[in-house]
Amino acid sequence: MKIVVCIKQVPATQEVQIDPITGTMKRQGMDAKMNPYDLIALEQAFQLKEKVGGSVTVISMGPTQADAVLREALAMGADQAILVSDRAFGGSDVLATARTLAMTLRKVGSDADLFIFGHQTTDGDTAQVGPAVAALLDIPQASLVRSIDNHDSFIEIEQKLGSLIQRATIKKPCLITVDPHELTPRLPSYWRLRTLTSDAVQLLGLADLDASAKTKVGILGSPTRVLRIFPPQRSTKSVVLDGKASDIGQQLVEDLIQAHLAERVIHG
Amino acid sequence: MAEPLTKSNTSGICVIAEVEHQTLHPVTLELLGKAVDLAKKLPGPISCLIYGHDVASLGQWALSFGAQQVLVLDHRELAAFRTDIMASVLHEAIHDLKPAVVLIGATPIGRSLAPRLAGLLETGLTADCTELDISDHGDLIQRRPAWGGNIMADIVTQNHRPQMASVRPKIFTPIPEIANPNGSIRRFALDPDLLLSGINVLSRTEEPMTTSISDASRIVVAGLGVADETGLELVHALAKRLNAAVAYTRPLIERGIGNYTHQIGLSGRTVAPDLLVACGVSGSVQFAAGMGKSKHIIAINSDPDAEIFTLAHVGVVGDCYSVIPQWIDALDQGDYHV
Ligand SMILES: Cc1cc2nc3c(=O)[nH]c(=O)nc-3n(C[C@H](O)[C@H](O)[C@H](O)COP(=O)(O)OP(=O)(O)OC[C@H]3O[C@@H](n4cnc5c(N)ncnc54)[C@H](O)[C@@H]3O)c2cc1C
Repeated sequence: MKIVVCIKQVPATQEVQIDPITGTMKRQGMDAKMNPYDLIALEQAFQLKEKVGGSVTVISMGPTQADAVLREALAMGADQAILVSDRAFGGSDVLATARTLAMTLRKVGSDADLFIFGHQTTDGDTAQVGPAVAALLDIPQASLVRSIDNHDSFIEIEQKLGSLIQRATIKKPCLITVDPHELTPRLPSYWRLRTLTSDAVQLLGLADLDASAKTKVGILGSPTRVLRIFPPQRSTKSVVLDGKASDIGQQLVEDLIQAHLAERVIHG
Repeated sequence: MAEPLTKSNTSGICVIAEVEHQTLHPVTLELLGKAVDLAKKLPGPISCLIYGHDVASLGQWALSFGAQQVLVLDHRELAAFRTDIMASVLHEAIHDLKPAVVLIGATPIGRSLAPRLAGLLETGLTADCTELDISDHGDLIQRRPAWGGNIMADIVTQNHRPQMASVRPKIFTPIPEIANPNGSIRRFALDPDLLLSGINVLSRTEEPMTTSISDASRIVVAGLGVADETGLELVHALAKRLNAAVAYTRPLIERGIGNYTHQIGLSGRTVAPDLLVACGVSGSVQFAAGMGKSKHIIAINSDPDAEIFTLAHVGVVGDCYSVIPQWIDALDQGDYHV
């Protein structure tokens, strides 16, 4: 079974900076890590490979530094890693990202049985890219998958849609996004990481995919625009109480009573 | 496929309904409520797309909550949730309706359907909007916390149509029910080819109703300011005394303190309880996106400049480790019913 997992590098801290001009995130010179949801997707892929045999290819779209998460995936046990990187991809929104990944998957994943995406990222947070790629590839897709069994021409999955648990079979090739359930990702092997050669990660640019697609990717191919960014405007209509006041407990109780959230119990 | 959708051939707002237990999901009525509001600035009809099996009777309901046209996509093949064919039939129906704006609930189902539909329509989609408005140019302004950072962003889909946005439940409010609505309900003829799915649903089971944090009427939230053992004990004791559920900010979930179903915020749950008590929570935009509509917010934070105080109705500038025990004491001593 050939499995392709798409992963992303995200900022390692919450304190990210926004480029005031483009409204996109500044990625330069920032600590980065693998998107935690992708670790779960990878683990799901490795367990499946261990059960049925085959290979796991990891793909990441991002700046050249994203090489690091692909190496980490190789050290965890991936067989092949591809970095999709090009200046032309900068400023991509969901659709432009999905187009770039779909082009990549058509090229390097034409013989794949299963494409796996993490549920969402911790930076973009939209949970949209996976399903959009499936639409562009015109293959069936299921979100929030928490178990996978392999069969000849299909996979059998269980997905958790809110309080609904749905079991289904999906024809191959297909795309799934993985429910963030409890699945402990394996640690990268230090030995593997050390022995990776400098060309362990294959690099693909726009010209390798489709040079004519320039207006379909990156900022040019993104239908959405950030009009403006601004600090949250909130009303400061609040009552401020001093936590050091000796009757602070009582003041809070009085507030609950006023808000009809508590009442005195009248005895007798 | 028919002619592409552009600025000149689209108008109005379409709400994609979600059917749950043969009724309209509350988020559908909330989105219709917002559509009524947006329609004051955007010409064109308010339509509602209802898809599923045996759902025709729900059309009347959508009309009562603000839809002017209902398009029903009713078929046995649409009984179980299968993203591929559902996106395909909705794609077809949207080409028929030609709305300028498409709104969809950011539920587990909406979140897997919307991006597939946006992919087929090759248009923009903004997830989890916390506010929507119409610009002077007639574009949909999609407001949401920006990607990272304590900052909000207004996003527009400049040239592509329709402009798609998803919104969590409990962000908007339905209009009061209209007694005798006039409006039309039409059945959409489905092309059988579009109903060929690569997915075969084997079984569907409802998980036993776990008490979801989204349904709790009172919530006490623990943030990083109370993330140690003593702090968490205090939060649990307060919650018990207030008859409230306990929830967390994201950093606590990341540390394994709670399950992610108990995370409030942009990447967690949206809540709008009667009472929300935030203990040691700074009040980031991502957190606020999940609780801004709470009816009564009390915040305890030792930093007088914490953002949470701009969200709270009552702010206590103080140390949780001393304020919470005093609050519990006062409740116990005075014999209060909460
Ligand atoms: C894409 C994205 C999505 C995100 N989604 C979410 C989300 O869904 N939910 C979420 O919560 N976060 C989310 N975040 C993270 C968010 O940006 C903040 O980092 C987070 O909400 C901060 O959590 P906090 O308030 O608990 O911690 P902090 O920001 O560290 O705040 C702790 C507060 O406790 C106060 N404090 C410390 N000690 C005491 C004491 N003894 N008594 C009283 N007060 C004290 C401090 O003054 C401070 O204000 C997201 C971030 C990104 C980038």
